[in-house]
Amino acid sequence: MKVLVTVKEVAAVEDEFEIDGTAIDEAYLEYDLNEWDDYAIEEGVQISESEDDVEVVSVTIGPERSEETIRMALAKGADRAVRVWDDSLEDAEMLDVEAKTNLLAAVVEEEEPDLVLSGVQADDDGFGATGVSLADEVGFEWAAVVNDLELDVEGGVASVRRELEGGVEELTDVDLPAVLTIQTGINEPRYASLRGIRQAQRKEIKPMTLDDLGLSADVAESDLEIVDMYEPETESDATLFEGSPDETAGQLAEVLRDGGVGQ
Amino acid sequence: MDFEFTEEQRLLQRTARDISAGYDLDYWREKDDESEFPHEVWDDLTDAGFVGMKIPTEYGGSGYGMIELVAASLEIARHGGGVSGANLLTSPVIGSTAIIEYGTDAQKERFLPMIAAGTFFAIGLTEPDAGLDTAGIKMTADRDGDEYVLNGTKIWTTGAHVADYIVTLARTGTGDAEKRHQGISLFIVPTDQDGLEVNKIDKLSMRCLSSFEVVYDDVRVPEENLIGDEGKGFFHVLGTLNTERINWGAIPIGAGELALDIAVDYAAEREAFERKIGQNQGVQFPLATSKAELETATLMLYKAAWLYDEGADCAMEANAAKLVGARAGFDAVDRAVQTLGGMGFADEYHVERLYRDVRLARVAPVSDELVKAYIAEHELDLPRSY
Repeated sequence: MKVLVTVKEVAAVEDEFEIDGTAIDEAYLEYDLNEWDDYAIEEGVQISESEDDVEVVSVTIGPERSEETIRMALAKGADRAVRVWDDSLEDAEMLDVEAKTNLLAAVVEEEEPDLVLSGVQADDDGFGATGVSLADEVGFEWAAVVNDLELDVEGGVASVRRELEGGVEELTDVDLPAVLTIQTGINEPRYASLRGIRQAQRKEIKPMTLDDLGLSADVAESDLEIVDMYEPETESDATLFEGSPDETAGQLAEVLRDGGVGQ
Repeated sequence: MDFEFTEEQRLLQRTARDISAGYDLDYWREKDDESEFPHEVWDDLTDAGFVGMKIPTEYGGSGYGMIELVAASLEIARHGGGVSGANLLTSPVIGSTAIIEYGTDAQKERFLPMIAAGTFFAIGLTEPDAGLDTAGIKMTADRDGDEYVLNGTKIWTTGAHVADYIVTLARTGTGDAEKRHQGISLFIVPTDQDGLEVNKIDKLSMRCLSSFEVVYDDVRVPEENLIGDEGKGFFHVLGTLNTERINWGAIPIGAGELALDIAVDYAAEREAFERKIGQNQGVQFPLATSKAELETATLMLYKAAWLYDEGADCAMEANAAKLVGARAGFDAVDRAVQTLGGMGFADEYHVERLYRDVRLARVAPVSDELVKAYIAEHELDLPRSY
């Protein structure tokens, strides 16, 4: 069985930063593994530890700098990795969901995994759509926001629990091959071990260009345009209730009703 | 000259940072308040391979050197662990280094995997009447058949209450005044032996890593627990102490960086006289001075670690790294307290704990004064002053 885990190196900012046009000045950015993807890696590695003959392949789209992040996935137990990048992607202002979908779909075609695990969303751009869009593109079954996974490898079925709005959860079975977007909390991601870090130095990170994937440079073209970037104003609104407990409880109930919380 | 870390070293730093950042400053405050060993952090550091980081891979360790150990300590200290967090790596590195360098194959196979797996080996060198003057120890180890019988008292044995073994220095020879460095031997003493009594010492700092007086009353140790040659224990210990000094150069630097981070955040937020206090050069300059001093001390630290890893003589550099690291760290925490003003004295702002803790680095494992005396004698060729 082959599990493909998509990971992303995300940009994070310090408390203080400056916006330069429609981007944050590079000096204020730090890069790290996307938090949701950390859970996806852990899930993949746990599958490989509990089942026989499982290969965990990690894939990322990113420049050479992102090798360190994908190396961390290898240190945590992934067997090998693929890094997709191309000079023609350097100039793209952003890679939107469609671009990432097409790039990852080409990797899925190449690798033919039985299961694709992706984080629910990315910490930086937060589209939260790539996993599901990928499933649609490659024709896999899918389940989003998965917070529990039981895998029946023989039967080719993933029994998942997924979060819906309002605290509701859904239990459902998904036939393999499938894409699951992994929610935080599904497991407890391990720290890389020093032994794992050392072993990761010898694991393969295969670079793949657009040519290698049979794609052309227009894959990065996007209908989306970033027109502005700004820090939202923070504001707070406090209501003080006064009176007896009965009165204040009534006032609180009114606020909750008005806010659509209570019936 | 290349100051770049390798990708492997950066991943190691990132992992140390992640582990440390998993425990917030309140965790360490509570551990300090309760004098409770930070088992959770110890277990994480063990599982990830940091406790056995200098132990060869064939004995279950991670097989790294002092450069990586220092890099890890700096991250652990800066990202929440402070002095106590980074000092968790000290005992395993001293204990394992003595066994790696002077132990028999059987001892390596027996003890090194234990250390890597998290068994705590405390260090028992200091005695009530022999602190920095290690050759002045009085504890005796008399041979009786295939055992040694140890009698005497050690103090400042940190972690004795959680240790399964205490690496102990004792006199097996006459202790002749002319040859006071000879006749001393190094033992690994199991803490479950009869005759061992531990008494906690209430202390100023690093309270979660409790220190003890340990009384040895006819404690029997099998001869296979003698490390290296009988009578040469003092010299065996000398080499291992460079690892301790180098880590104790990293500890105050990392703690100083942590205090600086707290002070900078505070200065950026705190308003007085209708302006952020961080706008005042009177607040900025001491913090900027500390940043420069911490960075400078870090360079000395890595040089000492590099020399050690190269197998070169690093006694001067290890001592210098400890001296300037302790000074830079202490001054940084002191300036952080000054920046926070009254809040610097409140437990909940954490710099008071770091202030107490980092003070230790100017006294232990070797005092500022003795480092200077060493450098004066051995580097400057001035007359021996002690």
